[in-house]
Amino acid sequence: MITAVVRTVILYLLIIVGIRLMGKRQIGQLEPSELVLSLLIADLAAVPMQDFGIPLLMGIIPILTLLCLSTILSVLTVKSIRFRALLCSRPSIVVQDGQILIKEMVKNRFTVDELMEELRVAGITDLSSVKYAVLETTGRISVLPKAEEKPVTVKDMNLPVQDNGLPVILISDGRILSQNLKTRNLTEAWLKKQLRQRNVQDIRHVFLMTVDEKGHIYLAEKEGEA
Amino acid sequence: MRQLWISAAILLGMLLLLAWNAWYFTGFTETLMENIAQATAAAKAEDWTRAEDLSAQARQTWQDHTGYLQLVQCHGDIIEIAVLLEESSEYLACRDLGEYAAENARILGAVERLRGLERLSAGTLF
Repeated sequence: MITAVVRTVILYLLIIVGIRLMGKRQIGQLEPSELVLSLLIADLAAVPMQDFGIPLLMGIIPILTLLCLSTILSVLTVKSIRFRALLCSRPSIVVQDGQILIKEMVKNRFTVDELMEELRVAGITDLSSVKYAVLETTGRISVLPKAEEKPVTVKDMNLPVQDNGLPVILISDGRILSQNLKTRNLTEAWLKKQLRQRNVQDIRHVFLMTVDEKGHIYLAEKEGEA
Repeated sequence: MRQLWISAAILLGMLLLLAWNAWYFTGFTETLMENIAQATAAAKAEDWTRAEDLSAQARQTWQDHTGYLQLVQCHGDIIEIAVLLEESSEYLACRDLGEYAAENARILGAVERLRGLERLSAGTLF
């Protein structure tokens, strides 16, 4: 049975590398070829994990082949628009100016129920308020409401607003992230001073500490140690 | 583009390695099958000593390649052929020509099946 553990570790690490190579996308945003890849890899890895009579290479070789093919295809889709359209198809406009484009719906085998569901998820209940609804290549719907239906923004109201920028994590689970401190030109001495001001004596008691570009600090202490 | 070339290189490397594996496997099993065929012929000619030598060579060839075979073949298939080789040597020791020849035919069939799987053909593709 120790064989099962070792094989599982090897194949799991191989799959992690593969998923890492697929880039920063969630399952719901995978292109069809990437979804196929995920399903195939899962199946290929499971067989040598369970059947010790099958050499590990019989799982590793197909997985490596799929990963290489997937990388090649993804590079080609980046380089060539035609190839991208061939592999991933093109987004389709299914609603325009409040009107459902029935031909596009039929062409994509996209039902009205699915359309209404996606619109509701996007917070839209009135089709007439939609300027464009685009069926993306991942199967999700992107909705662009009509200008008069869009939520009011601060810019629309000509109000002054402070942009705090992107917060960076300084402490995560009791550990100082020195690289992030450097990017904000901060020091550990400054950090410790901030903690003292907030009655935190030990860095290890901090679960999360962030600072934004304006110097605003967010601090969360570990439960039971506050 | 670097990722593309690295992936293409890995794919090509794998293909070359597998082609080498197919060539190597076919090569050593060819020798093994020849030994078994000659052993059967020797047994039929009642040259039992030569038959025993050739059978022993075939067994030894298979055993010597066990480590390599475990990497590239299903373990059940490796064990099956090893068992068949042992059985055939027992039939040979008993001078049972009929069973010995039949056993050798089974060994040749099993090895040929594995060789067939290493070849790229319509049969293996479809």
